[in-house]
Amino acid sequence: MKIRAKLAKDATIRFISHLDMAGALEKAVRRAGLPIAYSEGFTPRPKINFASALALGVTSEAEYVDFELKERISVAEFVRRLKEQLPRGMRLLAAREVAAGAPALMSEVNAASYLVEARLPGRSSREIAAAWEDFLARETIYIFKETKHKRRDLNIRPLILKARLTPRAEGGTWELLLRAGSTGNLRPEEVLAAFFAETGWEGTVERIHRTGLYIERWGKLLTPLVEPRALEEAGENE
Amino acid sequence: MADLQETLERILPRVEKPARYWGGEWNEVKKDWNEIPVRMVLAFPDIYEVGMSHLGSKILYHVVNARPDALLERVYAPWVDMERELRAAGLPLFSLETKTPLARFDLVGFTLQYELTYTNILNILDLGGIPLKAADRQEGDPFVLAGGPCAFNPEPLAPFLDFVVLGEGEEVLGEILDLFRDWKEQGGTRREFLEAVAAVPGVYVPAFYDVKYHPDGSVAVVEPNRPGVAERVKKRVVHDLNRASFPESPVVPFLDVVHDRAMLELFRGCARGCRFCQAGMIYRPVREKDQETLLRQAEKLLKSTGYGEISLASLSSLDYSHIAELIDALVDQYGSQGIRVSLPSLRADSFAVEQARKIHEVRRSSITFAPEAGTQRLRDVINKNVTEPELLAAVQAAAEAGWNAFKLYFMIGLPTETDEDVLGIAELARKVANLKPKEGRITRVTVSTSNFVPKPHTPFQWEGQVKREELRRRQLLLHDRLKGRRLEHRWHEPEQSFLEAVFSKGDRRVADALERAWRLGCRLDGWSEEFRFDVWEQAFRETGIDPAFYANREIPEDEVLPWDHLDPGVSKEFLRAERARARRGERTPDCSRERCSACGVCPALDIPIRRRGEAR
Ligand code: SF4
Repeated sequence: MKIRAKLAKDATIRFISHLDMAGALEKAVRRAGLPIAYSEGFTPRPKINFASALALGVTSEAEYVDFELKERISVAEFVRRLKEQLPRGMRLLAAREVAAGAPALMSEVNAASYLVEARLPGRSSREIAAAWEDFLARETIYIFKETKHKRRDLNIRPLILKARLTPRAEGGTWELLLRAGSTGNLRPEEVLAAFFAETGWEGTVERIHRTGLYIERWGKLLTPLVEPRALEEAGENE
Repeated sequence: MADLQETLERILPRVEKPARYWGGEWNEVKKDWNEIPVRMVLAFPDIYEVGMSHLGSKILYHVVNARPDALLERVYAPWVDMERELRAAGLPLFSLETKTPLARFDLVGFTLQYELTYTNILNILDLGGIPLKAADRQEGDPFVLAGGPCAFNPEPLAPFLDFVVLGEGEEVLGEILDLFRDWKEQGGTRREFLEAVAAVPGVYVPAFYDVKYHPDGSVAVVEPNRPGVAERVKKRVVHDLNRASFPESPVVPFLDVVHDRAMLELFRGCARGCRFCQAGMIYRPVREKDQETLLRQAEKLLKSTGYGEISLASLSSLDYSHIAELIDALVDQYGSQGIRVSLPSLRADSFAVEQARKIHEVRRSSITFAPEAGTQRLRDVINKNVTEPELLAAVQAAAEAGWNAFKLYFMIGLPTETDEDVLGIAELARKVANLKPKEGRITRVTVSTSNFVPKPHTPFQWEGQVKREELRRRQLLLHDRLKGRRLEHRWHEPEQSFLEAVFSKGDRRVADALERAWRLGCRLDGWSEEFRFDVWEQAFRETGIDPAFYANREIPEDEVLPWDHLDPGVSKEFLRAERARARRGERTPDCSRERCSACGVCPALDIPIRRRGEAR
């Protein structure tokens, strides 16, 4: 069976990399004695799959993980046992069973929302709001993107799905909904960096928090844990 | 410590792997600082990933934190980026658990695993806000202590340490903490505590000994400078490991550390008697745990950590008397849960391959053997009791079992080594590469050669290290012969080995060069990317210390050794006799299987002489 869970990564473990967090979760699953399934092959790995990697330093209240189990177990039991074994800073928020053949989370999730705190020393609240409005009004915003395989200029404007700024003197809070996954992936710090570059202002990103991961379908945003049944079973609100 | 916390959060995003400095791992013990009278920090003078892989530290962490009246926190050497940030921010080095600056602890304990970590010790003290020299520490400053294998010659660190613990720490540390608690309660002076602790068996207070030198620079005498201090300090050991305190719930790091697995210690000591090996001498005698104890501990370890691998960690794990049964039992019980059993090293025989075959269901990595020397003559000299036919048979068996990459470890510069021995390594490697297994194939043979470093308390303690240029010549000689398909040669630069020899055999005067080198910016010397030999040379020059005197000089057997007053239980007569046997190419049998070779340690420590597996 497959259980999909939603976890939080709190500030206390924001300095733990995504890979290390996955390792910690793997160990927690073993401590909990959950009947996790293993992959075939030379180095069998437990079948635990994250929806999306989270950058070092970023906190989140929406990490989705699929666990493939080789024996049936109730979701409530799964939640109870895993919760006891999670390291400080990792919290299990909700869980539900999904169809064994459900598509991989990684391939489904295509949008992510964030809260970003940034500082812009010397800028007034009004200045910041106006500049941000100009920034968003542009049809194209190019950034230079360098990955292992290629270097290219990328227009990120279409990847910003929604944005809301609450400005204040010398900074503000940005709520961003960005394209994620294999169809285009935009990170919040890239948006802010582009904004700083555009304005020529010296800014610093203070904090990034992931608030949601979504499957955008037919113009609607679904979370990977949509069915209400899940909420009852896990005993917590999504 | 709200300020420290805030600054830390600001700088951590700028350093590599901030988790090294953050703590908060599973099984971390975080006690209420204000409630605990005795506060100690265990300082591992290398980076987190190395320190978190060290079994001894896990044991001490558990032993101290099990006491209601004491706490033990952790700190590691910061990497260069973190040091830069700390200094720029004016932030003192702090413990992982409560983020407390080191200077606020009662005791700061270093473990000495490797000589090239010594500059890190000075750096940690300095960053922690603690006066470097013991003589400069005032009432209220922490006591700085050290233990571990290199503590059997701590002389190069003598001015920086308040006291040193010889041997296994789990029992004696308890006695020290008792003493400290009482002393703190009564409000004594620093001097009073040092005098009291000096009376604890196994504790050495360097300041209570004077060293006199001959005009030629050799040591004339090391003697106590006050009454009531032992002339020789004898090491401490745990007599019954079944009853020793065992860390059932070790800290599980988030970071992928060097040994990221559960470690099950099967026994202590090794009686194979390799004459170059310090561990083999100072950890004697062999003391095994019962199989039931081990199975019980394995279960607890795996349950409390969630590791997917359990490593049988001892000096030569396959020598455990019930090793085959133990491996079977572990594989039986945990194999189906996706938990692997692993062996850190293999001896070169078919029994070893048979055991390895059982546990490495998947022959994913290469398999390693350590013949140490290229000819039978030289292997007899060092008492490495493996023959060429045994090695070839082991490789053949391993290849047929499915391994195809092999690593062979050797040392260059062993006493009496000639070019013939060096070339013998190439020949042996070639024979290995040319084996024709009935099944499978040999695709790669990697020869890894380190440089021999003479170590205190071994039969080779009097030897001088071969000069650097000569070591390099021999490495290159071998390198030329190791070209060819399927062959690969890796070797260590002689400079680091040279420095290791200086500090391994150094006396108190070397401390000046150490401090100078650190002031000139040397640290993390064990990491080749940070190692700066030219700066070390400058430090030796400026302090007027001749490093070759320590590293390369052969010491006459009647000369006083800088570490003669420290007693691992193995007698000097035995070491002398072993050296003579080495010269004659005579082997000495494994005393845990054959007869006692009268090294002296069992009677000295009041441990009955018995062979492995014999009932207690
Ligand atoms: S005294 Fe004898 S039995 Fe004991 S460790 Fe030494 S050689 Fe072995």
